Amino acid sequence: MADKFRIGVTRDAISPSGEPICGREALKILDDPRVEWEYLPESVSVLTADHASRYDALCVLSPRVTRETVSRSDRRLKLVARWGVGYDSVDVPALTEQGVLLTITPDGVRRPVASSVMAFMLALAHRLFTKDRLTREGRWREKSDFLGYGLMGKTLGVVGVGNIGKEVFRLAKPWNMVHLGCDPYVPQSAVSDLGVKMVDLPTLLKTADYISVNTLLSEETRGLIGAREFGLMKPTAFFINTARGPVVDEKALVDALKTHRIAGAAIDVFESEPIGADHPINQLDNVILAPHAVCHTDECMRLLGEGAFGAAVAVANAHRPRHIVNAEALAHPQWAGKLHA
Amino acid sequence: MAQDKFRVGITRDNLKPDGSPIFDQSALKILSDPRIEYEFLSELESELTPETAAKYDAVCVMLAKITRKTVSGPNRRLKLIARFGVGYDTVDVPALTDNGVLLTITPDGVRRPVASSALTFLLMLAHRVPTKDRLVREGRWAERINYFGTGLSGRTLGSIGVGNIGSELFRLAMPFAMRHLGYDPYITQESVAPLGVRLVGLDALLLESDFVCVNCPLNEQTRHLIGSRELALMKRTAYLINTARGPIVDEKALYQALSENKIAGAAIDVFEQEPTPADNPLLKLDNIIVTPHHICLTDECINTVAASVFNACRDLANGRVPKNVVNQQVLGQVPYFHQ
Repeated sequence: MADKFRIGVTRDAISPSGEPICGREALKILDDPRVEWEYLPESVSVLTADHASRYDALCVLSPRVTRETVSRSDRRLKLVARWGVGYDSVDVPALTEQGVLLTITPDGVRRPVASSVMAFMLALAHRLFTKDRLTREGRWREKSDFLGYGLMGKTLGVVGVGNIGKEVFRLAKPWNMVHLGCDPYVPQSAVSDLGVKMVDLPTLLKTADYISVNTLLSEETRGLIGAREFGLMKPTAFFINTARGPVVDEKALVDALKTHRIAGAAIDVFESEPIGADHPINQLDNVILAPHAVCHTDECMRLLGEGAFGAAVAVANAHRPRHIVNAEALAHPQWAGKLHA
Repeated sequence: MAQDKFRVGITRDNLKPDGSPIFDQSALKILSDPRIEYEFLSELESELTPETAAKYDAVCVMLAKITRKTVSGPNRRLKLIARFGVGYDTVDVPALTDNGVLLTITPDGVRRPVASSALTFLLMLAHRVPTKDRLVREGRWAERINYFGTGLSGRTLGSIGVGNIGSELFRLAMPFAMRHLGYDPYITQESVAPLGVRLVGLDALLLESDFVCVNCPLNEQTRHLIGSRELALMKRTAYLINTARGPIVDEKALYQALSENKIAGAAIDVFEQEPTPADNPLLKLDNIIVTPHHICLTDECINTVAASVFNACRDLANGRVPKNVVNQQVLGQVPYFHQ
């Protein structure tokens, strides 16, 4: 008799009030006759071989997935379905060797993150945080020292023109800015309809008034933006990072802000998270900060849940899930004849 | 004897604390016309005096009130009040018209900056950015899970007033795929269809919108248009955004609605009294964003607005009808034009 397809969901999918953060509608996807599911019994920071022995699929928010997770002989796990698109927390080669699929949720983050980039860019351009502070401190008369910066004709440079980067350009379209992109994997022909000119990184850094990092974190992008790169930027430039902290040399970022090497920044991600109140960046008033959560809206959570649960239920029904990161894992013998498209 | 020059006065609130103008010198170059001499007013007048009206052909006005008294004095030389901006609630327009004084405004200069400001406020509230900034600085990272934002796709953006600025707001918001509602008794459904806007009554807009933006002028019909009754109609999850004029919203009622969480939050650039006193209770709330009637003031804004203002003066100095005259009836009554 066929065992049900067992799905485990990491506990950080539950809000403090006990409700699912993705909303109840998204959970309904798991009401599939072939599936039984539960939240993991404990909150963990790393998934273990025990977890991999209990579940066919794990829907994972923040816990890491390591070689150890997937390497025991009693592994039942076939799929890690991440909520989100970053997978720097997952040992992908180890999963691939073991034939464990990794899926991500590009639909869930595309609009929410791009919308966050727009929110940050506009807040910096309008000097919103400064003006709110002036008003609360009764310093109304000083306002004329704080003219904002109009966006028309200014240059928006996006580093990493993928799922999210392209969406940033779409949302920015009505603002009549010049669009520059930098991405070794994206040819000019792929973005001409978005009015984007692809250039190399130094050119983008020297020309852009607003620089948004939207790359994944990989060995190629680790430390991509450091002191040299901040040195190339205009003194009037604003820097936005909603991607991954380690793409940026954080010490160089703090220095660039402290010395007014650049005009300001908005940062949602840090080299090591969480950061504490004593992090030097907290002393600066030319930066807007967020706790790797600026894109976390109800819409985002719903779409992430739908994406992750959808992938798990697809595999439960012997369908190939969408948005597989490591398709080579399908070559593993355990998949032979198991999935149809 | 040489023809008297066309004298232009500019109100002093256009100067920064260090005495330099808030607009670029290049805008002032427009006034380097052989027919024109200009200066900044020697004092900051909260209400323009009849003496000022006797001294200048045109006054370029930021905040000063223009009353019947201003334009009814002896030896009135004044022919034009050129406002920086589009609001004229501080101007007694009938008094100007009765006395042959033109009023011009600057719709082109404010359209994009104010619409951009309203959308900035909307995104700040939707993504709860001020709260998230605070969480990080206070070392309260783990609490982020209590502060999910409001996704925009499919949510409803309502604008009270779908004129110059309201229309631009919908244009900027297009890519966000929101539902667009408008309340505006002066326009037709056909005129706003291209913006995807459906015109509805005020109550319906308040009941259905997730973001209510005020984009109408201040006049007797709109004073306290939004009071406690209107705020009570709004969803508890909705946000109010006001970049128009403070007195359109009953500030005490707004404070009550926010402190009792009858609406989710607000962002206002304008207050019933400006500057707003430091002890205004609204300033203590953390579900409101407040700015000092300045959120739209970008370099782009002030320079476009200033150019518009000075061009109005230059046009009139050369006997041409300026653009964007509010009280058009005056045009046929006065001998200022010879082109």
